[in-house]
Amino acid sequence: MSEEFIVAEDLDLAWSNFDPFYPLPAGCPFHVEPVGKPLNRLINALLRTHRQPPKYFFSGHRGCGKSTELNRLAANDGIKRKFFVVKYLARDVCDINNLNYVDVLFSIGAQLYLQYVDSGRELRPELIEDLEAWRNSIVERVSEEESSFETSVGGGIQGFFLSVMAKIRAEDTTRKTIREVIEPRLSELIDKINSIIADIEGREGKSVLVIIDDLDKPNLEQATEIFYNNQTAITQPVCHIVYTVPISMFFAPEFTAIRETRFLLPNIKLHAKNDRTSRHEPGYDLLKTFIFKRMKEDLIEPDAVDLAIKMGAGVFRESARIMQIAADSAIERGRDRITREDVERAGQEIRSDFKRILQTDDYDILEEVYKNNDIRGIEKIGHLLHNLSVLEYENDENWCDIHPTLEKILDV
Amino acid sequence: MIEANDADTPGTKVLRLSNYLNRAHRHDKPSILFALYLSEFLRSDVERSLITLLKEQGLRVVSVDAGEKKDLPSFFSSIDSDNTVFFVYNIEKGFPEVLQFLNFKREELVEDRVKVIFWVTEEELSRISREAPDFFAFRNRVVEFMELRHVGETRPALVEFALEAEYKSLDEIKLSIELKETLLADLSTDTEMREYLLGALGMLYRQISRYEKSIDCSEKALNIARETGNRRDEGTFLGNLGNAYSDIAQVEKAIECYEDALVIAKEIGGSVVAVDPLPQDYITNLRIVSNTFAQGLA
Repeated sequence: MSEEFIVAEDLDLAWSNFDPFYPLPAGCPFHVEPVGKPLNRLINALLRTHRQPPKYFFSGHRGCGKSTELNRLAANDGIKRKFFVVKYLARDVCDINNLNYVDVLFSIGAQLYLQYVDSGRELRPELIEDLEAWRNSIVERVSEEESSFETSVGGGIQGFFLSVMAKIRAEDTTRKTIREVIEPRLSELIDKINSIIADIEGREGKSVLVIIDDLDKPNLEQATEIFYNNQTAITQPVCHIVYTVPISMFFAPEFTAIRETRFLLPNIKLHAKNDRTSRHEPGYDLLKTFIFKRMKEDLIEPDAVDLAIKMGAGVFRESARIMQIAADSAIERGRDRITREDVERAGQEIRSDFKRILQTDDYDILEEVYKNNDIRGIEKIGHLLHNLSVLEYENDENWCDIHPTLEKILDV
Repeated sequence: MIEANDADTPGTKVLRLSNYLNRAHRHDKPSILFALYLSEFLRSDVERSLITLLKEQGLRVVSVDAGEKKDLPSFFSSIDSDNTVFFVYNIEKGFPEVLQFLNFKREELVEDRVKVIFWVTEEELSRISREAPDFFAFRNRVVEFMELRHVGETRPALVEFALEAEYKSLDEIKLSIELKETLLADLSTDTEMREYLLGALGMLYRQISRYEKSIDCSEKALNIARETGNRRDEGTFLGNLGNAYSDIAQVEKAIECYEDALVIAKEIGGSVVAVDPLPQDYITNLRIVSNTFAQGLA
């Protein structure tokens, strides 16, 4: 973001501050700690002593703040004391549209090496030699299929990792060839990854933690291929790993085995289950904090604040969107503060968007959810959870409700 | 409670888009907008107005055909987008690949601070929201231009035809279609009423951009008019067909229909047709366009 994180004193800057797109960097003054501090569960799990380094699966509904929380995880003092942290975005190193477990594993090895070396450190010479021999064998084998590969791959191990990742990301045919070369000798790749990990741990006196953001983008079919069909392979690296995963994995029956290792970032609860008239004050307080860290209180009428919070449905990005549209509406009408009317307009716009997404059968399901606040038959509501027309909340058990903007269009 | 933004005029909404983009430019933020339209003619007007406003603010507009540039995120990244607003058209022609690229690479639009308006019909927007839900969640706003240009403003009238009503909203049109289809289903023989309903449906379907259906209904109405020897209605339906073929860029067929309608109009005489040089100019212009395409110069 090009502007500093300043509390807005006018609606123009408020509009900018409520940009719904950007994950917040660690230490950002706009950040609000979710109720219950769910990230602490993951931090505590990582800080515990384990016989074998665990692999955690991290997810949450769209816009709930996953990337922001992962930024905070990587910057956490306790985590940095215990771990050498390697964090990256899968989309920077892989083609998310065509993702495969070999790509994921190769990216782990590449990022471990590159980030360690880029931090000014060195691996032991024997390991470098070993990696160079491995590099040469890969290049030779791929070049048998693609003659131009050898000349296009950068020199040294760093060049090799950078070039191969770029090709995996951008070149369909070369990606396929690389996978075909590496996959039969997967144990070789894993051995190199573990060798790098071992060297880092030995030199730093710390464990290694890999955090991969953006792996929640693939669809359930791709996720099943990576995290279920090849679970053994992707859990082979001997280090702590946090994989982001699609939220649908948490509902699919194949993934019951990951129950102990999954971490869900919940939406913010605003009312009790089956009692829409109640107010869950901690949720409202949290979102008021969210709003007033970004703009002054006198920029919005008091009765508009609660409505805006409700329309945001307890999801940070949705709340930001409501506020940005409401700010835009107020500016358009020449006002210097947001009124209830502006928030209602924003809610109506969101509702119109939902009407375009929802199909006839969806309305019956929404009515059922509205009445029962219950998750009955995940196969029915999976797609509604995905598009946020249904949202999940946590008590001791999980329950759900429809997006508040949809209340007006249901025949209840 | 204010329920409908339809109360806002197209001019207000154009300003809304312009101000939104200008603000995004000033704050160096991305802006992912959808402009939902019903009428191609209104869309053209809106675009012209918007381009003028954006140029006044120092922004340039780059038009992108999604049928040709399916990897839109990569295309946006390849252009210095600092003071650029992309207008994206023909999303449907890029289905399904364009949706896949947008869905998986949506963060690139954010990282590159892309300012873009996707000009979409309701069907296109519905499909985007269902098949690229993650990308759709990244939208800033959807601004609707669902008003209709009055036909008389956009096409010189070759013949007069009875507009049942001037529809302002999509819901009204759809309800009218529904009613007429129901009535039509009860009419088994080709009566004048059937001709009337088919003719009306031809116009209504065109107004919601269902051109094939419009052509189908208008042709059926035309057949009945010819069978019953109703020259006035025959001319009317030929004019409607010309409009529909023109909308889908079937220029030769449009010209053929217009020319036939003009013959009838001249035959029937001045009480029916406004003596107006524009229709002939329009046909002449369509012929120029057709020839230009044929030479591969367009």
